Amino acid sequence: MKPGITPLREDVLAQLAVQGDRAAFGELTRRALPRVRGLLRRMGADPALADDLAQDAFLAAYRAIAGYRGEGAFAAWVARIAARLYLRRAQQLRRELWEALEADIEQPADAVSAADGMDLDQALATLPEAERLCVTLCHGAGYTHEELARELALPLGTVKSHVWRGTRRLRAKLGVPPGPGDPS
Amino acid sequence: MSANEDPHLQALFADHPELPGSARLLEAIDQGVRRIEARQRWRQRVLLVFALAGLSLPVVAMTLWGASLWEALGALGMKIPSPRITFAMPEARPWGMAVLAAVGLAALGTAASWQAWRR
Repeated sequence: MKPGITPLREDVLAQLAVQGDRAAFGELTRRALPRVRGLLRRMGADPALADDLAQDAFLAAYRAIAGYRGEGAFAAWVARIAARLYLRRAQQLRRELWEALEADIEQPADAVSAADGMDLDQALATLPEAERLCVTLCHGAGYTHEELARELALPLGTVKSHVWRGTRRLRAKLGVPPGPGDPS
Repeated sequence: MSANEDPHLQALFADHPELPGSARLLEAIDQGVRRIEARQRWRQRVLLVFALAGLSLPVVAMTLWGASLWEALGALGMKIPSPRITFAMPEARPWGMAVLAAVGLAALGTAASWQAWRR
C-alpha cells in the first residue's frame, strides 16, 4: 500500500480514487469491506456467496467510481451496489423468497425468546426471510420504504408490512423497547 | 419516525464485526482491479488506433481528391502549380477515395461511440 494513504479522510481518498489512484481505492475498500460483507450476510447470503458478491460489488464500484459524487459514505454506496447484486441473484435463483416477499402474509418466525441473549445477527436469523431482507435493507443499508418498493418491484404497502412486522419481531427478540411512532 | 430512522436499531446495524478471510478477499479485489486497469489500458490503445485511422484516412482521401482536382484543372488548360503529389490510383481513384473516407469516418464514429458508451 502507498505510504501515507491510511490516515487520509474518506472524502480525500474518494477524490484520489476518482482520479484513478488504485491505492486510495484499496484503502476505501479495506474500510468498507466489513460493512458490505456484514450487510450481505444479514440479508441472508451464505458466507461464500456474500464474499463473491462483495468482490463483485467492489469491482463494479471501481468501474463506476467516476460516478461517485461523495454525497454519502463510500461504504454505503458500495453496500447498495452489493444489495442490488444480491437481490438480482435472489430473484433469479430463490423463487420461494420472492413468493414470500410478494405475499403480504405474516409468516411464522423461529420461536426464540429475547431471554436467550441474542445478538443482532442471531436475532435476524430467526426472522422469516422476507422480513429479514426488508428489515436489513431499511436499517442496515438506509433504504426508505419507497426506495425498497422500487428496488423489489413490490407495492409500497407490502414492503411496509414486511418492515413493520420484521422490526417489531426484531425489537422483541433483542429486548429493544419500542420507539415513538413504532408499529404496534 | 420511519422504520429506518430508529437510532437504536441503526446503531446495532452500524456495528460490523471483522469477519475472517478479509485479507484474502482484499487481495482478490485488488487483483480484479488490476485486471480492469489492464483491460482499460488495452481499450485506450484500440481507441487511439481507431481515432488515428479515423482522422488520417479522410485526410488521405482528401489529398488524393486534391491531386485529381489539379489534374482535371490542368486538363482544362488552367496551369496551377501542382502540389506534386504522386499517388498512383488510376481509374479506381474516385471509388478508392470514397472508400477511404468512409472507412475513416466509420473508424472515427466507432471510436467516438465507444468512448461515449464507456462513460
